[in-house]
This record gives sequence, structure tokens and C-alpha cells, in this order.
Amino acid sequence: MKVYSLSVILAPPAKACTILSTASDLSSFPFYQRGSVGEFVTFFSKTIAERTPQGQRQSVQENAYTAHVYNRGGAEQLAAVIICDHEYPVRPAFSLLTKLLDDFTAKIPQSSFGNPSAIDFPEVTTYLQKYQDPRQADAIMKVQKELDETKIVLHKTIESVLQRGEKINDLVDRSQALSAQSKMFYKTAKKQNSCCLIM
Amino acid sequence: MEQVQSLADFLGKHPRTIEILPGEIDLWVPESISAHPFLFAEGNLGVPQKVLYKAYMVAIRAYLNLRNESRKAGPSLQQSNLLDRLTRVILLANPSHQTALNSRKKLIENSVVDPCWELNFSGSLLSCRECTKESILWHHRRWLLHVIHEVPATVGTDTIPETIPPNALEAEFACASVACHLYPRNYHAWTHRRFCAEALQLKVPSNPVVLVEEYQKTLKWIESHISDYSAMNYATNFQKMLPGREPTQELLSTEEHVTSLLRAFPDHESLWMYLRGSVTLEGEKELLASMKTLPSARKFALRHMVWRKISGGEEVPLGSLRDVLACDSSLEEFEQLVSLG
Repeated sequence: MKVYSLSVILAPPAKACTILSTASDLSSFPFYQRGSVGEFVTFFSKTIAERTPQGQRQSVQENAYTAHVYNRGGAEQLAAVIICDHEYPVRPAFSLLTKLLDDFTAKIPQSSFGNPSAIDFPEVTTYLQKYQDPRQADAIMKVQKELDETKIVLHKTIESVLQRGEKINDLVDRSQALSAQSKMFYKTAKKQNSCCLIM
Repeated sequence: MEQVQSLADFLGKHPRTIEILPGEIDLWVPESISAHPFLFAEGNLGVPQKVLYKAYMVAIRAYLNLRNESRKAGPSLQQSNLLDRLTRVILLANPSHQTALNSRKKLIENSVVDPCWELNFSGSLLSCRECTKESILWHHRRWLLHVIHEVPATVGTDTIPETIPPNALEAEFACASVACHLYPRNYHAWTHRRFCAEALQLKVPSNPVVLVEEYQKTLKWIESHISDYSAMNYATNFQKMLPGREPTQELLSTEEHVTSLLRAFPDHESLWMYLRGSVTLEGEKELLASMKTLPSARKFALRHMVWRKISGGEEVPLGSLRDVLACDSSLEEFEQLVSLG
């Protein structure tokens, strides 16, 4: 059971997303893969957040990983994404996303969203460490009102999140945020249909 | 051949980790760096897959020729050294190459390769994901421990020698732990660990702290890897070896451990298997009563009750044990079976 990353994302409808605050723990990946996994974590977090309508919760499985996204919308137009393995239970993941967004909006004024590098929100790192054990989330789940699990949309592949005509391979190929090495890792993992390499 | 030699050199430096990188060389390694065509940073060796397989083809041909040439008279020192270098490369590309491993065993017996050096080399190999799932590499490691600690050849290599000092065992635990991280649910690594734990158990009076630490580490591991049944099996076996065997306040029993985990993650099948190995009759009653009411766990709970009946010697009228416990039996069938008693 492992949480790889947590991000708070500015997600204005029909526009490109911006990551406002993020933390990741990639220590379990082999040395030369870490950089590429880091790029992919960012890439997938943004790709998925951009394709989640406001007010919706989605879970997307891709190889050995599951990304949960909650686009809260509202005045702040914020979404949060957690990337973890399949073992990590769904309810604590979404509780954590809600808490993350609540704490973020309470601490960071909307006016500073324009300059993400200046945002100081160390809680995201603290939460990433603390909630590696999902039982820690029991306490926040009690405070939050009942989460209706039936409303969470589960996608078995990332393809089903994409819009009609979009292909994940094309998105990966076209992306300028991904290095050639990362694309190679991705292609190999796809070809072997394996969980050993990147997403 | 130049690349084979250069790769053999790098493998001889005891890299901390080895990774096989997908794709072409130029994607990874600019020609300007000294290690070209390999990556070597902070003790981590990166080998582009295409370079590795080309080197393998060269190495395997040279290796077979060399073996044929030296078959009658035995290898000369120069040939032995070359055999050593070729088999390093062969084993990285094809870790299940038994003949190459046997050649290395001969080199050790002929004192061409030092067994302690080889133990380090084996540690490097086992830090490469593709190698960690090869049972013969783990066996090779146990054989090395036998050679280093001078165990008579009559003792099977599925045991770890009692004469091995605890700090050497800790190194084994560390090596197995790296492999468990690299390859999820790594049965071979846990098996190796079990052999080590058994050796450690014989030393209990002299060093119980190592035992307790290893036990606690395992419980911690299970909490974050709740599908790793090999680890759970290891933990239940381990508990039986603990000094005094009575769980104390700081030392959780596996029964308490599995009970708390099941309450948090009731729909994980491996945990239910863990329960079978750990729980006593009195312990499970209350747990099952609450689990039966949870929709996600009801089937597992009923199945556990049927298993309990059968393992208690009770006759269950429907089919064989295997049929009854098959995963695809329906909820109703289980309910029927439980209500029979």
C-alpha cells in the first residue's frame, strides 16, 4: 500500500490545468527510473484533472497504479489528485483529497494562485507521509459527512477518461513535459503490459 | 568483446543497484561520459537493454567455445579469469543460466574467485529487478554461505549454517528486503529469509534482539503490503520461533495483528489466509461475528467458518475440501454449509 503523490491543481473548465502544490514519494522506484516516474506523475495528474468535470470524483486505473481525482470546482476552481497503488482503499483516498482541498483553501488566498512557485503549503508533504497508512484517515472520515461511493466513477483504463478521438499514446508522444527516456519507459511498460515500469 | 569486458568491469565494482534501461544507448548515455555505453552514478549501474543483449550474444559464444577448449585439461588461469568475466555478463542478461552459475561455483572451488567477493556480486545481481525472482540465484547465495562458513557438503543447501554470525545474517535480511521492494510478493526472497531466520533461531540465547527486530519489521511490512501472503506466512512461522513465545506488550502477536488488519481491510483475501495461520479458536469468534455483517467481507467470513469446520475434522457433506473452498462458490452455498453444523 503506497501513496506516490498528492497534488492540488487549479482546474478552470476547458482550460489547461496548473499544479499549485504537490509532493511525491518515489523512493521505492529504481534509481534511474525516479526522474521519469516523477515526470509521469505530473503528466497524469494534470491529464486526469483536466478531464474531470467540476463536482465529480473519478478513479482511474492504469497498470499497477490508481489515480483518484476530486474536482471540487466552486469559486476557487480547485481539484486534487492522489496517485497510489491498487491496494490503497478508495474511501480514505477521497477523504484525504477533501481534507487537502479544505486546508489549502483555508491557508492560501486565491490571489496567489497566479504564481504557483511562491505558494508555501508544506502540509501536502506532511499528509503524503502521514497517510501512507490509510487507517490514519479514519479520523477525518468520521468528521466528513458520508461519501456516496456510488457516485465515484471508476475507469479501468486511462483511455476511457479521454475525450473522443484522443489517444493516450499520442498525448504521451506530443507532451513536451516528458523526456525521451520517460517516453521510452512508458512504451516499454505498455508493450509488456507490465506493472514493473512506469504507469 | 570490448563492451563485454567493460560491463564485466562495472559488475566487478559491486554496484549498489543494477538497472536494465529500455531502448537505445544514445537515449540514455551521451558519448562524452566516461562510463559509455553504461551509466554509473553513486554506485548505481544502468545498462541499456540493447547493449546488454548484444554483449550477451558475444559473451555466450565465447563462453561455449572456452568451455569446449578447456574441457579436457581444465581451464588455465587465464581462461578461468575470462570465464569469470563472461559469466558475470551472461548472468545479468539471463539470470537463470544454470550452467554459467555452475561455472562460477567451479571457479570458487578452484580458488579463482573469492567466495566473499562472489557474495557481494550476488548481492549486486539481486538488486536488479529481473534477477530477484530467480530461485537459483538465491540458492547460489546459500551455497556461498555454506562455502564461506565451511559447512560439510552433506548438509543440504536449503539450510543456512548455524555457524554464521548474526551480523552476516542481518546482511542476508537486508538483501532479501531489497528484493522484496523491487519485486512485489517475492516468494523466493521470503523463502531465503525464512532459511536465515531458522539459522538465527538456533542462536536465540546469544542474540534475541535481532530476532525481535526482524519480527517487528515483518509486521510493519505486512501493514503496508496487505497482499503479500509470503510475508504473512513468514510472520506466522517466525512467531513460533520467538523466545518465550508469549506475546508481550511491545510485541504484538500475529493473531492481534491480523485481527486489527482485517477490521481495517476486510475484503483482502490474503489477510483471510493470514488469519488461518495465526488465529486461535477463541480469538476468531468475535471477529467473525462482526465480519459477517459487512457485505464486502461476508463471503470470506463464511468461507473461513467452513474451513474451520473441515480443519477441525468435521465432515462437510458437499464435495471435497477443494470444491468447498474454491473461490467461486456462491454466498448461498457457504451460508448453507455453515448452517449445517
